[in-house]
Amino acid sequence: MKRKKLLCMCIALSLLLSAVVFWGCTANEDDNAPVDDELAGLSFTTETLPKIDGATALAPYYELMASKLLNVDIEEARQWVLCSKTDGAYRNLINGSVDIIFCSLPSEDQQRMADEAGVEFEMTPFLNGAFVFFVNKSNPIESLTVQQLHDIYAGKITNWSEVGGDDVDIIAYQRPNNSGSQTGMYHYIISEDEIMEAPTEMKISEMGGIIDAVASYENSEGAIGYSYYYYVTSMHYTDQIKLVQIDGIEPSDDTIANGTYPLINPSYAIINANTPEDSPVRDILKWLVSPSGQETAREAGYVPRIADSADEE
Amino acid sequence: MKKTGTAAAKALCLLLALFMVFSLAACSGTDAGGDDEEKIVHTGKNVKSPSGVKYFTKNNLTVDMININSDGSVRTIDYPAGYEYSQMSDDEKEKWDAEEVFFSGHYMQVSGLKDKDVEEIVNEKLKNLCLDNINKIPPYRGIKAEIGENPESAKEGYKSAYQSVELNDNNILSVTMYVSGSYKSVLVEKNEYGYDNSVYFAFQETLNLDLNTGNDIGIVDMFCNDVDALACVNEAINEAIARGNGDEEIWDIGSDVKIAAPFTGISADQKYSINNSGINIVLDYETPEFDTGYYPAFVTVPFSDKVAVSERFFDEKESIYESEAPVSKHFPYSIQDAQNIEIVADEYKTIGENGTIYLIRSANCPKSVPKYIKERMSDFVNIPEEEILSEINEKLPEDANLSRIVGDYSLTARVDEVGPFVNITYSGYKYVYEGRQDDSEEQKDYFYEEISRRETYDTRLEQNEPIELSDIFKEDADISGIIKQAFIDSINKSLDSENSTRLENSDKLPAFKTGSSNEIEKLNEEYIDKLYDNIIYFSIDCESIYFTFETLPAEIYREIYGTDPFEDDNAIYINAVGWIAYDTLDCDKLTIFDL
Repeated sequence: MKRKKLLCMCIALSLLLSAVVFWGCTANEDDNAPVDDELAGLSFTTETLPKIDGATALAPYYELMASKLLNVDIEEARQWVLCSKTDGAYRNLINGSVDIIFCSLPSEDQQRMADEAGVEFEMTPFLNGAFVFFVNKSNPIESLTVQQLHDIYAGKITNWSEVGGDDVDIIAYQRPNNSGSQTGMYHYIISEDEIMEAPTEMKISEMGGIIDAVASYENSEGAIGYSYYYYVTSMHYTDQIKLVQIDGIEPSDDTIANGTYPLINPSYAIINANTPEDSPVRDILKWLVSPSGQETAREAGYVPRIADSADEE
Repeated sequence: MKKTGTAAAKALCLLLALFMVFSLAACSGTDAGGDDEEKIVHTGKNVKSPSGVKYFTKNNLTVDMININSDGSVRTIDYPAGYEYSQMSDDEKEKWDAEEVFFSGHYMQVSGLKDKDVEEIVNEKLKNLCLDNINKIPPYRGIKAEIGENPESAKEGYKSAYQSVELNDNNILSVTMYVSGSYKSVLVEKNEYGYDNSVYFAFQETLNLDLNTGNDIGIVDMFCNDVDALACVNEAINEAIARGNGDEEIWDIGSDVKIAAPFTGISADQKYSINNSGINIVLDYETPEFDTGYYPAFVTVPFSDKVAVSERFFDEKESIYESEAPVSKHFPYSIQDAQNIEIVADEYKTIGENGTIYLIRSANCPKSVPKYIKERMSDFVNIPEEEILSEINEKLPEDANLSRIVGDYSLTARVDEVGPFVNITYSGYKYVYEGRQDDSEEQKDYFYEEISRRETYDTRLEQNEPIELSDIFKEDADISGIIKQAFIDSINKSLDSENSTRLENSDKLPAFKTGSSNEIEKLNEEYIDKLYDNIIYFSIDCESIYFTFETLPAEIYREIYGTDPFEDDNAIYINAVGWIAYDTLDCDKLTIFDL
C-alpha cells in the first residue's frame, strides 16, 4: 500500500512539476506575442488593397504584411503583391502603376527619373538593415574605417598591407549601377564620381554572386565585397566569408537594432508624396511602424526598427 | 534504514524519470517536428547505391497525341497557319477567332501495355493532367496584382497547353504539361517589359508514372533507398545557386531568377520530371523562395551512382509490353559541369613578324577525362608556332606581299562523354589573305583550309588508341550489311517525314529515289555502297552512331546525276554527316551496351 501511495505521490508531483514547466513554456511564448495596438485590425480586401511592389530582398516582409492585411494565407497574399525588384518597383511607382513600394533609397538615376516625371518620393523607414562589407575568412583584417573603405574603392588603397593586413592586392568587387547594393555604396561610402572604374568581370550582377566571388574564387584571399546584412546572413550564408567590423563595431542584430553599427540602412516604404492624406496607403505607412508592423518584421526574419536607433538619412 | 533509503532513492529516481517524461511531452507539443515529420516510403524495387544510369532501355509503348480545344474537348478541324490567318479578311478572322484559332493544345494517350487496367489508369492521369491545368491561372508571385481575380485574355494572345514526353524508358513515363498564355494587365501602365499591356505567363506541371502499376513516382524513388534523396536535390539546387550567381552565363536557372527568401530545402512532393540529362527540378510558385517571374525555372540534378532510375521499376527479363519487337537502348546525356572543366589550351595571340596571323587555340574537357585523352587534345592544338609559320610560308605564292599577310590559324579540340566513351572533335581552319589597303581594293585570298576530325575512345579499355567501327559490333555481326540497311531505313524514314533531320545537309545530298524499277534500285544500291565506303569518322552519340562522309555529296551527285549540286548555290565545301539511331539497329548486335 505504502509503495502504491509513494507511486501516486510521485506521479502527482511529476504532473505538477510538468504543468509548471508547460505553463512556463506557454508563458514565454505569450511574452513574445504581438502587443495589440489600434492598427492591429487594419484590413483590406483584394479590391481595396493598394498596389504593392518592391525589392526581392524585402519580399518576405511585404508578402507577410499583405497576408495579414488581407487576412488570407501567404500563398494567396503573395499573388496580390508585385516583386519587380528595386529598379522595376521605382519605375512602377513613378509611372503610377503601383501605390507603395518597399525598397532601399533611390539611386541617382531613379531620383532623376522621378524628378523628370514630377514625382516626389515620400519615404518612411520601417526596418533597420545594415550595409555590410565582407572579406574571405582567410583575410586577417577584422575592422576597417569608413575612410579606409572610401580609399579602397577610390583606388587609393590597393594592398591589404596598407590597412594592417597581409601583402596581398585588394580585389574590390562592385555591383551594377541601380542595384540596391551599389546605391548603398554610393550613399554610405563613396560617390559615383569618385568610385574607381571596375572591370566588367568584377561587377557582379547578382547579390549572391558578390558573396560567392569573395568566398570561393581562387584569388579571393584579397577580395572584398558588400551587400545588405539580411541578405548575407539569412539568404546567402556561407562560412567562407566574414563580416568586417566598421570602426571596430561588428554588424549584428543587436548593434543594428540599437543603431550603434555605423552603416545602418533602414528599408523604406516609399509612396508618391501627392498621395491624399485619407488614402489607405497612408494607413499602411502607419501600420508599418506600429507594433503590428514591427512584429511582422521579426516574424519575417528582419531586424525591426527601434524608434531611437540612429537614422543616418 | 538501508531498506528505507533504497526505497527513497528509488522513489526519487522514479520521480525524476516521470518528471523528465512528462516535461518532454509538455514541451514537444510546441515543436514543429515530431509526428509531422515526413516519412520516406519508397515504391518499386529496393535499390542500393551505387546504381546510376549506364544506359536507358526504351519502353515498347505507343504514344498518340490528341488535339484539343480550350475546354478540353477533342479538336476535329484543321486550323489555318499564322500567315494564312494574317492574310484573311476581318470576317474570316472573326469566324476563326470563334473557333479558338489562338489556342493550340494536346494531351497524350498511350497503348501497348499488357495490363489494360494499368493502361487505363495511365491514360486517365494523362488526360486529367491536361484538363486540370488547361485553364489554370498559375499562382505566381504578383500575378493577381497584374491581371486581377477574373482576368481577360489578351487580344490575339496565343494560348497553348501541350504535353511532351520527357522520358519513356525503363518502365517510367515522365510527362510535362506546359501551359502558356497572356492576359490583359490591369495596371495603369506596365513596366518596361510590358509594352503591349499584356502579361505573359507559362507554367509546367509534371507526371511521373510507374508503368507497372500506373502509380505516381515521388522524387525520393529516383534515388537509391540508402541515399538521402532530398539532400541530394538540395545540394544540386544550392550548387546551382552558387554557380549561377557567380556567373550568369552558365546558370541553367536563368538570370531572371532571384532568391527571395532563404532556401531551406525541398519536400518529398517536389515537382520534377526526368529526361535523358537528369532529374529536372521545377522552380515556380510552389517554391516561393525563388522568384522566377511568371515562368518556371529548372535545376537539373545530374545522374550519379545515387540514382535508382535504371533499376527501380525495370526488369530486363520481364516485359510489360505487348510488342515483342527488339528493345532499343540509348545513353544518357552527359552534362558538362562548368565548374569541372580543365583547360588544356586556351590562347589568342598574334604570331609572325610579317603581317598579322591570329593564332587561336582552344581545348578544354572535364577533369575526369583520362590523361591520354588530354594529351591527344593538347598535341593537336599546341603545334609549335615555328611549324605553323613554316607551313603558312610554304603555302604562300612566291609573289605574296609578306608585309600585308593577314590570317587566322584556328585549332580547337572538344570532348563529349557518352557512357564510357569519349569522343574528341578536332576542328579548325587556316585562312590567309592579303590585307586590303582601302575599301576599293579587292581582297586577295591565298588559301583556306578546314580541319575536321573525330576520334572515339573506350575508357574501359585504357588504351591510347581510338576504337574502330568493328569494335562496336559483336564478332558475328555483318557490319557493312547492318550499316547499309540502317542507311536505307534512315533515308526512307527521312523521306517519309517532312521534318526529319536524320541526314544533315540532306538538301545537298542526292535524293534517294523510291520506287521499284531496277534502275532506281541499282542507283540506290550504288549510292549506299558509296556512302558506306566514304565513311571517314564515326563517334558514339547518346541516341545514335554518328558518321562523317568525305566529299560524298558532290562526287555521288555528279556520278549519278551528272551535274554538280554546288554549282548553283555557291555552297562551301563540307563533309557530309549522318547518323544511325540505335532504334533502327538491333542493340543486341552492339558491344557498346555490354556494360
